[in-house]
Amino acid sequence: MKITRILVYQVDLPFDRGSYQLSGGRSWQALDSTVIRVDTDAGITGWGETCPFGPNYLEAFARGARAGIGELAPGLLGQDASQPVVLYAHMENSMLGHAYVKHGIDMACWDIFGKLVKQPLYTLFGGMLTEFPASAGGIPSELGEQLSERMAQHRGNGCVQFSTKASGNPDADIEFINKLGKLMRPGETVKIDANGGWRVDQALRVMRATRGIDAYFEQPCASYEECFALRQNCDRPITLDECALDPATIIRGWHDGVCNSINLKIDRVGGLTPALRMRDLCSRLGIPMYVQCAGGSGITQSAIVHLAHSVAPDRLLYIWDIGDLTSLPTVVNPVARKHGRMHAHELPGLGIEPDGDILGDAIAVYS
Amino acid sequence: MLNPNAIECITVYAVEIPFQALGSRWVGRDKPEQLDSTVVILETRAGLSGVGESCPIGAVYLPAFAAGLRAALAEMAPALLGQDATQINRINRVMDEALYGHGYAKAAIDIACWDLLGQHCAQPVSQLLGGRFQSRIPAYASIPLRSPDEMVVTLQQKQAEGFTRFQIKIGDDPVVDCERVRAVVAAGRPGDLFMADANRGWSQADALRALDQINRIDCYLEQPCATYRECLPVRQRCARPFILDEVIDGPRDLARAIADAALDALVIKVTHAGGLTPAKIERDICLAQGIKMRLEDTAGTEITRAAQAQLAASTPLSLQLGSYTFLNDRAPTADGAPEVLNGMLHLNQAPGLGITPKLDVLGIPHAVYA
Repeated sequence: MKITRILVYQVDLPFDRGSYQLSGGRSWQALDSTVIRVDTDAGITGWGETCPFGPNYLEAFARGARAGIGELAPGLLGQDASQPVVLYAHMENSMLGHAYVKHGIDMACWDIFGKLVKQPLYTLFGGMLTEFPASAGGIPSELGEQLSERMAQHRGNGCVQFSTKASGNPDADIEFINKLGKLMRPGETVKIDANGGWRVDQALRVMRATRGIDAYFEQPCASYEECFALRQNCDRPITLDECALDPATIIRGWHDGVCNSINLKIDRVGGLTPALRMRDLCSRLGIPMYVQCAGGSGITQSAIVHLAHSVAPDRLLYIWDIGDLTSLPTVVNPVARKHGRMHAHELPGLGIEPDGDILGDAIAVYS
Repeated sequence: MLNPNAIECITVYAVEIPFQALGSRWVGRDKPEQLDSTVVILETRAGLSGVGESCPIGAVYLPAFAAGLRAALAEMAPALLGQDATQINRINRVMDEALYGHGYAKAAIDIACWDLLGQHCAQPVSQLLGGRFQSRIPAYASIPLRSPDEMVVTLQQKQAEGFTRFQIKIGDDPVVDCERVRAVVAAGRPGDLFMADANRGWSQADALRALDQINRIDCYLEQPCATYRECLPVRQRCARPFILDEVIDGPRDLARAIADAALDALVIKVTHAGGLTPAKIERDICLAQGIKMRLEDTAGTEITRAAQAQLAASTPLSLQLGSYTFLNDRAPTADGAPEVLNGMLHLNQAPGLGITPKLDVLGIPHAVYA
């Protein structure tokens, strides 16, 4: 099962709702996705995808993904693609860091492994624990008809946690959260994702001025240390996202009481292989997980759903629906969706078939 | 009116440097035969130009590699064109808005902007970094990881060249490593200074085994383990001054290490820090805390030697452990770089980095953004 060829495709993923905004005025119109095809001498082909959320969200950018694949590719040719964990160690030995690059290749190798043993990935991840993972209840960050519609739609699907973005301006955020609180019903919670956009003092103000609203705060401040300082002065649940890069941070966060839940973004932690280790760690430490990626299309969606299937229901919170951003699937058979819940195809590997028309010609071929 | 200091052109060159593997990072790994350095020349509308360099050591020393560096420059170039090169903190902000992280790529631009600002003000960069304390900087010699006997021979060669500060590369088998350190330090002369550098090669257990011996030898212990968390228990049991290098990534890591009393000395590599601007911030934190420093870089040519030397020249010698020479067996990329004499770097008084890039050596540009 030797790797004989690696092909790289570039796909623009336009946002269905125009631009997408995060705290601090960060805004994007589209994502630049890199799809990877790995061919083997056994005739099995695997697919992977890595798609940074623009160049300035995490330390990851599309040009860097392509440069990184170019760096790794010569050393990958001839390696056994059906042993993802061994192959991952090889990548670690060839290039330090750049987790998001390894993520795309790792995904393709898991796809190959699944096809080799004719099993859907969730089986290889330990088996089916959550049959129908629920999509996050994303809602707009401003009042209006759209907000009410989305809330009603999520309620209809049985979703009890809404998810929204903070602007990073504490006064505007306090005003919005308090108004949102009036629209929420008993038993419903809201996750406020600041994407690291508040200083500690600003986060404290928001938390104090929104008392009584059942809110989770995701990555309120940029660094672990700032979130820790916040934790010592607040009693609200904190979700770690951007700063939770590795198991060591999870252990610290658990010990320090900072990590009440984690947003497990597969690409941020370096792919399915490291994400599985973090899944196990979080499961044992009692830390519930959102399973997501920073960006991506139908290939990424399938990886998310397979991983989510393998998380126990009492540890799995919500998963990311790529449809929140873009309706371009890049696959001919997108993951099944119903009432805000998803289920992976009962097919070997990722179980998806990329759409050759959308991928176009490879922009790089390593063989 | 058009801003005369606006960046009008960014020219990127690729320079191959012979690579000599020094430390434990390369034990059991394929070594690159050449290092692939990137030199950037910025030109302003008024015709001033500045030069910077950033040279990752392969792809496994830090999360940095040459092709990634040049991809990052391509990503940032459109945002940089038209910006005022003399407004350095603003340039850094523009880069941060265009691209998250990748300080090693931003470093090449930042260094070139300092060179340009120095020429704009007719001052050496050291003057603009706070003032020149001295124009002669002690350099250290690195003794590659070999057998103890071979390492003693290298020490004696370097002593004969005039060096008095030495880095002993270890991070292999802890028992042999202790033998290496003991042999080299025993061959030292009065006044010699030794830094035993494991380059993250030891597990926590390896390091604790070695400490029993290291604690009896007059040397610094540098970067024993792979992560900050693994270094901390070693530090707490180490009787020798403790140096951190690769695991400190910016002022936040440094602040945490200071709060944990986790270091006595810090290696500030200009391009690892993200350029002279962030390196200066780390330098100033160390100054305020009385933490010693090695002001140096990962790898590079004369341009890198000049940039680190400007920072070292603006830092009191009492808190410095030494800079690096970056001597390569190849044609110099610039004239005017600090000369290496008797184990010291000698800076000139010329403006900016004090160097003139040699375009014939840099060759055909890899990319031009204009």
